[in-house]
Amino acid sequence: MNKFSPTPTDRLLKRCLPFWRNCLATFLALVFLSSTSAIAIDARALEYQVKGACLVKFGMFVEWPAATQNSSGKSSFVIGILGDDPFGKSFDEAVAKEKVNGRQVLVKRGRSAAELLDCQIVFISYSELERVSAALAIFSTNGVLTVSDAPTFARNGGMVGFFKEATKDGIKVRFEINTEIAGQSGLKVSSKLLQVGRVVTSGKPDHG
Amino acid sequence: MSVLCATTGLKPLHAAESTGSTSPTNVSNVMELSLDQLLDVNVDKVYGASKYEQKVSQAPASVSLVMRDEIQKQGYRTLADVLRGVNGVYVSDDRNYSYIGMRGFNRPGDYNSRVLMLVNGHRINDNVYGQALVGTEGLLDVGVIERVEVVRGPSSSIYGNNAFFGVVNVITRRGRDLNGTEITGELGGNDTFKSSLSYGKQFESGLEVMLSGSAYTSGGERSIYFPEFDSPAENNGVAWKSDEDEVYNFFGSAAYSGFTLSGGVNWRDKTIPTASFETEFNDGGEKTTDSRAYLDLKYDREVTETVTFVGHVAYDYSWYEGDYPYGVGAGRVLNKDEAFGEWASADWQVNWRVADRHTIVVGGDYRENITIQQENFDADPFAEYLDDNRSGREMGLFAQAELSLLTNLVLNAGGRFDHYSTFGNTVNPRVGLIYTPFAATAFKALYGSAYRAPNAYELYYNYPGQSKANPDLKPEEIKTYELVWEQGLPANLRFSLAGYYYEIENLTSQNVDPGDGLLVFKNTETANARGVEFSLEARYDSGLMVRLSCAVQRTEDELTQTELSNSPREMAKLNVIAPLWEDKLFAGIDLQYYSAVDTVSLTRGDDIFNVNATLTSRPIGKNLEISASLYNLFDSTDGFSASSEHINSLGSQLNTMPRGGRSFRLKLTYRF
Repeated sequence: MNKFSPTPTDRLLKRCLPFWRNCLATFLALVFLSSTSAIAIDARALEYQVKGACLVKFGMFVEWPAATQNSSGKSSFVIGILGDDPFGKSFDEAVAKEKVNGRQVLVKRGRSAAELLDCQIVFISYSELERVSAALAIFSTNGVLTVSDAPTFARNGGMVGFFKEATKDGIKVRFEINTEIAGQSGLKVSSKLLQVGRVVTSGKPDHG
Repeated sequence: MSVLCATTGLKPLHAAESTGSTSPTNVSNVMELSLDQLLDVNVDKVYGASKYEQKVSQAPASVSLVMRDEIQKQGYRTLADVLRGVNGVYVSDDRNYSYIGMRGFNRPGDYNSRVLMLVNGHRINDNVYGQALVGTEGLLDVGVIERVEVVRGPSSSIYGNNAFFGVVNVITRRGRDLNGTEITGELGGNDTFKSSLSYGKQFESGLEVMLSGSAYTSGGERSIYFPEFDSPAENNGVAWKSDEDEVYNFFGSAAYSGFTLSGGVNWRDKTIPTASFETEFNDGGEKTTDSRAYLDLKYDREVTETVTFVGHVAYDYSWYEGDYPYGVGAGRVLNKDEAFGEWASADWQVNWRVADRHTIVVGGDYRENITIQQENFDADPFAEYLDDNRSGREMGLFAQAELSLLTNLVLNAGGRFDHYSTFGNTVNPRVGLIYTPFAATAFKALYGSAYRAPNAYELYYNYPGQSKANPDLKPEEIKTYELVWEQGLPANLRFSLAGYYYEIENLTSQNVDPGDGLLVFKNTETANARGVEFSLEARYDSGLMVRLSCAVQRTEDELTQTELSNSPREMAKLNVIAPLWEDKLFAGIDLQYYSAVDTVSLTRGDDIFNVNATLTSRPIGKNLEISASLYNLFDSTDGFSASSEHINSLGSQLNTMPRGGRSFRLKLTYRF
């Protein structure tokens, strides 16, 4: 009945197991090494992929004042990230093919507002929110569109604040936009952006 | 139970076809979307942990997701196959049913009553055994599955009964996911054939329809060798042609304007080679037939911008019939064991989003057990041993709040009250703190309790001279403590680490009453489990996916201070999907290792090692897909512990259950 007995293969297998484990370890090491040069971004960072893409789109629906250094005369369209970077390096790769009104999109990171004055849009990270008011003042006089993740950003001196909304289809990225603050910096927001965003004014939410 | 069906609304990405709805999307794809489309993208989310969709990192539990794409490229044949690939989960089978193990617990003889299974939020565990079946005997054909969420740890605070060690929530494909007709044909080892036909569409009127049916037959392994039965009186331990399997599944859904009607039915007939319940070995006549069905009407409505209402009414049945041959020749008697359960249920749930930061969920459910019937009789000459008819009801109320204490600190707290006509009341809380100091980092500290109500089989099954009922059984109770760390790393790596400690009381087990020598279920055992689970996952634009996971766990029966049976101390899994040629040819490797387990007969099994490999190809466009799989590549048959019912007419007890040997499958899928 040895014909039906599983033992020979099993014994063989058990002898081979250490070998397979080593193969596995080698294979994994190779995969991880090769992965360091890969281009894509973490699958679960989808939220920031979407927000990043939104930043580029904002560039198409906002008109910057000609008087500032951010006007269309300059060759590239710069998106700044102030503080900790939630988008990751892949954001640079992603925007490499993108153009806003014919201008190449670039990403610039900085730890202070002064470093990012040549940006058209600045995303203000959570890490900076405690000292955001000084930065906002600097950006506002330089015609920079300020964007953040903070829930009440657009109602407290910022221009565009992302938030998330649970719909019956799932959780979507949304944004609030404060046209008053944007207007004070000379920025003109197109009606398209006002259609898809939620317009708010300083101090209180407005569901219009 | 309610569901918010998975939606991406991600038409352009879906057209790329290579990924499921919440699977990875590369940046360049996202950049191609319009602003409107961007605002319609769903971020990664999970439904099962909190009864509404939320990001995996915000869920008050350790959660794994398996998408349809992975199911196809790994050649998974059943939901049991899918679960085998999930970190920390192990699935045994006894050549009849499949049994889910989690966190070191896979009690021999437990028909998955300690794991809650949901299909689109509808409870699948039945009202006789509390069982949820996941092998070929399961309600769903794997072809209708869009994604599977595995939530580890207790969720009785929202789901009530059965959500003891975890929740398996299956989301099915919708009309728009199919968008046409799909025909599949499969051919496999051991004379296995399967075919399916599915149709799905979302019409301009808003009506969305999905229908799918499948048929499966398998001759099974022609001969299976059981070393424990190796004697001349037992055909030298070889069961001939006793592994046949025949399955029919149907599932469908129709959605229109807030209403969704969905339902499924399956029928399955399986020959049993193991001579369980002291039957004659190699008789060929031992078999079971199972059927499970439900019809569920859901109403889903946004009451205001921040308040949503979901309600369900449903009808379910489950049916089981077993043929058990005793004696040989003229003295051969076919004993029949039957169970029929039938129930109607209703539930409601309100989600309230407060100040864009907090979520409050309240809900309730009610179940009327119309019929709970268990029968046992000899067919010819007729002799009845058991005819037990019951009915009963159960109801629950729950509330849960997700409060953003700080921008990066969320408190998730909730509790549920349940009333049963059988044992009375139980209350179960869950509290979780979720701290996300950085976008890619989440820490979770979780505490919860859960219960499993005694089922009708444990309460009422009695067989003259063998076993007796115990209507005084109490629910099993578990208290759990867990820490989870989820971290996104550079180079598309994502890792998670979970450590847990479980304390279980009133564990129900079957023992002999010394007073009368009859088997009876009692709440005797106290047990604990502790362990660590680790996983590292990488996904790339090219389609390459690598996931390595390991679990180390220890369980203990506190009375005897011994390890529980069927509890592997170590598990390791490697899951790779690699593109071999553009997006036309993919290889899937699914590798699992489990350290040896103690068996019910107090022996120790052998290490279990399984490798499956699948090649998937779309050689001519997107319409035709060919896949070829090899299962159990190294033909290793070491298995998990057999349960104590696997004892034949001569009193020989199986120690471990030999797994099926090497086999193959060829599958063709055509879409139009």
